[in-house]
Amino acid sequence: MDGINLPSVSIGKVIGFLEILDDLGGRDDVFRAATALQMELDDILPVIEAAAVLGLIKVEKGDAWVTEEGRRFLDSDINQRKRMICLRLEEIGLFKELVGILRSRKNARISRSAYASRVLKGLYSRDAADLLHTMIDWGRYAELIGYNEDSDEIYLDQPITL
Amino acid sequence: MTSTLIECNGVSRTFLEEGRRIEVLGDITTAVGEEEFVSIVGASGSGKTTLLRIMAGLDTPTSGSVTYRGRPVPEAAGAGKIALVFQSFALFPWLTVMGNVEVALEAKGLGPSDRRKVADKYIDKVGLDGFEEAYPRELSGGMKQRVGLARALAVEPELLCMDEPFSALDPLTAQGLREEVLRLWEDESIPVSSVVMVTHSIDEAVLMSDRIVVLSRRPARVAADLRVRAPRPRSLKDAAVQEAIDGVYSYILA
Repeated sequence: MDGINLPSVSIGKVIGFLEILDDLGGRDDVFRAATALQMELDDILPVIEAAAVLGLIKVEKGDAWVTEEGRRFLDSDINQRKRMICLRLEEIGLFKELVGILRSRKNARISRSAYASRVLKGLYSRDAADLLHTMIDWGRYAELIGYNEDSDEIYLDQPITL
Repeated sequence: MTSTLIECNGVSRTFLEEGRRIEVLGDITTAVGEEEFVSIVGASGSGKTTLLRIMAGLDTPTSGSVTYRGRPVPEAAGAGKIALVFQSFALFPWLTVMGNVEVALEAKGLGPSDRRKVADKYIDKVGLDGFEEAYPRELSGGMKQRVGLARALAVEPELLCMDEPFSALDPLTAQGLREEVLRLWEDESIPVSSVVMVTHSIDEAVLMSDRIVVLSRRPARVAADLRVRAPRPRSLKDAAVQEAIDGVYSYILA
């Protein structure tokens, strides 16, 4: 993925969309899917983008369809789903970089503000906050990273032992 | 034929409001057996939630009786046989996810290490691994309701009562969570035998339930008790599902 951005969408919404798309036959016109869901296009587009970023669907010429990966995800239990998302996140530039930073630090921790000022400095603070929120939400779901609000630290959920 | 878990016999409930008597439940007689997923539907204000609260031991009928395996319901609820999931999640904002789940176990009298072990199991079951130290304000609605679910499941009830558990969620999140709740109900390693769910969504009731109890308008009586025979997993596109939905509507609009 190019640039620094992720759609601000919870994993729960992505899963729900994937199930509905599967229910609609696995492939549908995005506009028609939005109508079927009684959702505005600008509400559903970030969800579609998120599902595509996570490799669960593909979108082309206004059609969205469930990928093989997405199919396996639907057939998996909750912990297999988490592992699949984890593998995917590790390939996304932002997470790759974050994991790299965490691995390079003792305790595998960084304060959220230090990370934001180091990596997200090009963003407006509002956008950076949204992005961090999404990264923490996805990262926690995948059990790739953790975040402690009291200490304001992001950390590797299962730090590798060197 | 499985044995009966909970039985309502001639249950009525009248509230006093500004000197007026409001008869919400008229004369309800119904039962929920083992291994059943039952939904309660009805027009708004028909007393669905009142009936559920009586089943969960949080309210008492004005007349009639409710028994759980032959015992009074408050006794069974006190023993952790019945747990309730709320529409509004009802989480403690100053506690983390782990804290919110453990609190239910503390009430059950478990020591700290047992609490952690049981809470861990159910946090894992509902997909909240990784969110243990998050506070409710950091969570999306769907994740908040997972905490509500984990907290209810952690007391290892036999009967899980859910009061419109998906109605505060956006439609996508609700869809995903419905599927997961069905999986949890089918999960052999979780002791929940039956689920009673109040919902205002007929689609949801038909997609999820074995049986649907339709309440009439106030004072509510059981207008219909319908069995949904469509095979699972169900989809709104299935003809049998659409037929069942039409069937429920015909009783609600009657």
